[in-house]
Amino acid sequence: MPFKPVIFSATILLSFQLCAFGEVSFSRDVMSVISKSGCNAGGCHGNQNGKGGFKLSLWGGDPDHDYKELFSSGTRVNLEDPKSSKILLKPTLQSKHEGGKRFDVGSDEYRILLEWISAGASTDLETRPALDSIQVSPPVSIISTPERSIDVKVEARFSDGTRIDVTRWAVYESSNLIAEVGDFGTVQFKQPGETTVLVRYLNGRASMRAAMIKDNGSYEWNGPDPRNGVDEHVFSKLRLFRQNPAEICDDLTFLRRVSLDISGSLPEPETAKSFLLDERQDKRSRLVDSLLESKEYADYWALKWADLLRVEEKTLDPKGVQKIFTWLSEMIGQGKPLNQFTRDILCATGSTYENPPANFYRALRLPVNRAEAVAQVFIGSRINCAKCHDHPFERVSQEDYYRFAAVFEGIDYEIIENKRKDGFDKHRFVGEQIVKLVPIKDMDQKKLLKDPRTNERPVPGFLDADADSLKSYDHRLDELSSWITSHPRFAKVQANRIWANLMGQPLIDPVDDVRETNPASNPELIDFLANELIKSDFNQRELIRLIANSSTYQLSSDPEGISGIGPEENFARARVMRYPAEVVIDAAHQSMSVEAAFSDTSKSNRAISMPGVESVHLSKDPYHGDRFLKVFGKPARLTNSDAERSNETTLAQVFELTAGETINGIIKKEDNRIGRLIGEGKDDLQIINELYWAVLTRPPSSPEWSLMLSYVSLAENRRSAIEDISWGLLNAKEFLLRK
Amino acid sequence: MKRFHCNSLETVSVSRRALLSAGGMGMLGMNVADFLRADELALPRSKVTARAKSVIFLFQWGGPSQIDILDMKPDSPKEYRSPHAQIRTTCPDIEICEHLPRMAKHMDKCTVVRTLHHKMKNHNSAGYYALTGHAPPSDDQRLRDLPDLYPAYGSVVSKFVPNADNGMPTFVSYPHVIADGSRTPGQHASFLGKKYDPLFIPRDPNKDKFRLPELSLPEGLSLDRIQSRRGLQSLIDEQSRMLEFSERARGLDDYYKNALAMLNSSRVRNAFDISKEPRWLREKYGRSTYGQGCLLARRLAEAGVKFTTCYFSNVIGGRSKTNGGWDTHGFDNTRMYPIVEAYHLPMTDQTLPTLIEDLDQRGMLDETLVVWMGEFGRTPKINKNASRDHWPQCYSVLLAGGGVKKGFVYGKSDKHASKPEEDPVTPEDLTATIYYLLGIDPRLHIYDTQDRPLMISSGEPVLDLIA
Repeated sequence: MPFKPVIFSATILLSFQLCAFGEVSFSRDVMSVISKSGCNAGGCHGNQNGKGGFKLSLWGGDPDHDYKELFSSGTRVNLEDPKSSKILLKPTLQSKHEGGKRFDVGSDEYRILLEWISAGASTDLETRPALDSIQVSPPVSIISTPERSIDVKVEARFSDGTRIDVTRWAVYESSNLIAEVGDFGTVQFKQPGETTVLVRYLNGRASMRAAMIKDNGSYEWNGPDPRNGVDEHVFSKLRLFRQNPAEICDDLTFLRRVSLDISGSLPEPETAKSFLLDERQDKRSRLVDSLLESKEYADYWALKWADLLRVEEKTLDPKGVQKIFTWLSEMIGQGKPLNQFTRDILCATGSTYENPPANFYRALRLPVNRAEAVAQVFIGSRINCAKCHDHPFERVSQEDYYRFAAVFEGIDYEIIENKRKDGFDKHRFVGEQIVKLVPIKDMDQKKLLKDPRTNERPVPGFLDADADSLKSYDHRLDELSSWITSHPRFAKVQANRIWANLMGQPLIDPVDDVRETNPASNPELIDFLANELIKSDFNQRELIRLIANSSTYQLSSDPEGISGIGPEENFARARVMRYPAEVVIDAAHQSMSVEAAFSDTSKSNRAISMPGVESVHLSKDPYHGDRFLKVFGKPARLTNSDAERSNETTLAQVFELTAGETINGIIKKEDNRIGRLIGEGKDDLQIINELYWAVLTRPPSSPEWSLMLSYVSLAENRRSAIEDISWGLLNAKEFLLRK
Repeated sequence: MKRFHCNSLETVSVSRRALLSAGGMGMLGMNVADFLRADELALPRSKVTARAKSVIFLFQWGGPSQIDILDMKPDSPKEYRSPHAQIRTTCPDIEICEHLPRMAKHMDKCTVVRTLHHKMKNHNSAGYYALTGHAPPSDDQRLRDLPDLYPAYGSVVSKFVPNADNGMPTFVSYPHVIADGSRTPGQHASFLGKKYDPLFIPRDPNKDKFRLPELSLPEGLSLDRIQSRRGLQSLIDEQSRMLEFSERARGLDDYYKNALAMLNSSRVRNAFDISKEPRWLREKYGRSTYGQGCLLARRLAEAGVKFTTCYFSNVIGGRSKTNGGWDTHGFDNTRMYPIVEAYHLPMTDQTLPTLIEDLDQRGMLDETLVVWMGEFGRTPKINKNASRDHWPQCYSVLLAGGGVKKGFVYGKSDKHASKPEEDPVTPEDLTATIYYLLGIDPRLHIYDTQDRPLMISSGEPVLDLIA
């Protein structure tokens, strides 16, 4: 290949921006034209199957491939007659192109390609200075009406030290439809709001936050005093956006909310009444403390971890599921620091019955699955994209992916017994297994992991390019744990997850997708939380305490009477959302004093303490309560993703609540709370009052008193009337939704 | 989130989930109306015009033989040739199995594709392929129903062309969950979200008491009583004010309105009330689970359901003359031909022509696409059990109505029906064709659990088979 130095002289730069005279570089100019024109997008030639027999690497991730592809047919690039090259004819619609017109004859794009072909269409891939990074300026920009647009500048920095303005050639996308970004980097707002602008240029990725606020000159801050750092960061963003928070919620709303958020369980009527009467100033924080010491807290947060660690019976078997769930609950109950807890999981080998966290690797049978799970759950890196191509948003290349996966090679299973009935089902295991580290030479050599591009075994190492390499292969899991738990994203993703579990909305969304191009809605706050977590030696209870004791957590969800109230997303008021399946069904049982009976192996009587998912997802026709859990989105735990759990509401759920057997069964049960109250000879007033406290954690209001009392007294059948009231309470929005 | 995409797709790809969670939505008082507008942008501005209003997908679990039914090779050597003769049909280009004499009278209304092909040799992986049009990650006999696998056709239809809010579901499936050792993926909405799951009816439409579980109330609970309960609920909801300030609370309440409307309305109940059909017609379809399933499918298409999947059987079967699917290996000393002659072919000859005729007589055939297919075909060479094994390399599909040509054969297989010779068709292409006929651009994007943009079909519609 002829040596062609790439010179970035000022003249060339200038002309490059104008219309690309001078020397056109394949790696820089041609590749950026291809990206800017959208040719290599996933729906077009960047598709894994290409389009019309022409396949480019997705978003130009593999320029070598693209160069070869351009020459794989004689007609795409025609050196004899450059203007009749297909790459000029098609995108200008001089010949038929399914992808429509991409640019005009005579446009900058056209001239760059033409220039390049005329000059011999050579590649400079081996000599090019690599792109180090791209910088977007400004990194954050907030404007207020009537101003509507922001000009973004993008600068590319190359390995030879050159810096060029590539605003014209970068590709932009706004994460929110309220704004659009023009080809030349102008963010145009259609309405007030906030968005993230994603920018890519060649293999560089960056993002910036942009917001437009409505200018209301009369704004005055009107909110509670900040109680801790959480409030300072939340309120400072609200102030910046000229918004106000709701008022602090009342005691009973707080009691109900915090009990369900921390322990997944309803407060009993007596607890609620005495909390209301308690006159101590610090009663709310005392309540938080006591909830954090409950068994329910440990089980409920174990349930959240069980979702992430694939705790399901098909692979782990019912005994394994029970073992690891109990272990999770014990660790959380004991307050095991999250970094040590993570280390215990990542280093766990041995019997899946004797050493429960070893079930983590039992569930993940292949090195690639282990690598993907560890990256996603513990450091919020979704690396699966890089299995087939370089990650489009993150600096994770296909090479990084296989290098990291190789760390998890040599984990094998000694299958003590396998009593599965279906010999064809290689996913099912019934019986004890020993998870062990096996020297590579003893592994089945044919099954060893290979990088599909080189067909070679990858050299094991960690994900970041600048991470230390593996010091000792034999101690790789120890090194892995140290690398993971000291990774800056580790504390961030754990703090984000805890925040999301309490507040109903993560700061970085999705929870397990932490990357520069997906910034937090409040970056200072997530940094603060992560730091607090580290400062407390990864003590989850401390972080929960910090959040639950903040004014922010305790805000009302009702915006009434507040001028300039901010939205739920900015945490200006408590987020209304449906409670998880387990919490809803447990609350229904508990409030009506009915013992639940699920049909799993453990015969669980509380859904938040149900170790696995077999009765919900593995049985053909799940029975009542189990069916309810399925309909309400209990995950099957087949991925390691926070997103597998569904908290959406559906028509099927409402049919389940209205005409289904579960809720009606609870209400009708002879000896439930209704039966007991009637049996004790309580009058209508007492019964209605008690039911309100039990189901909604509050007394009836006066309109409710009069309607409910007359409803019962006019009814032919007293018990049926009380059942109807109970149904009304169990279907109230304030029962099903977080208020 | 709006993503990098190719503008030529004529769509603005927006994931509603991402939009809701992007941290920007609602941030500065974006109200419901704005949100709805934003969501409108997500809908396809498709150039594709719908030919079919509804699809009836008759899934032949187990894998019917191509060479014994729709692609017979009477001149091939004995070890390949079907013991059945072929007969002429109302379409001069098509000859079919002698055991389908009634079907033969309606082939002038059908298109047969004889070159569908893929590489999945196991039921679950091939079944998933057939039910979604996407290749499974591996040819796994017990392919797990993972949430990162693609949704069923009907779920995609629910997402892009949902029924207007009239209570009638967009996607209905029944009467089985199909499985081969483990549940076959591809029967529900998967990563699209529960909202797009089928209304699934695990009941036998041939039973006298067949009814929609959702529309049937537990004992002792009358509609009146549900109405009074709803009244109590409304009063309680007024106290918390949540309906006033929370979009989510209002959304949930809308579902109660819909559910009650459905319970009250006779329209939806009627659509599922197969007992309203005249006795002679029920007999004509056959008093079997599958026969009545085909009849129910017609009722549903009539009532506006857009995609109905009726599964022939819950298991791959093949060893019984009275039940089960098409998986006729001749195992356990059974033999394929006596079984299909006694069960599968008569059942098919009773149901399929009846459905096509019924749709035609009601003037519905032109806008109702009937798809009759299995997950693969069977080995061209007869095995040592005088039966046939799995054969995905080349098999046949029957299409009728919904804008496809009448009396047409697409694709030609080789002399043993063992591989496509002309015009091969992939499951992806067939999927693209189905979406295309429904007016859905096959290149539309959906987003998986990782928020990755994926096309609903990576195939090309087979335009030549469209009338």
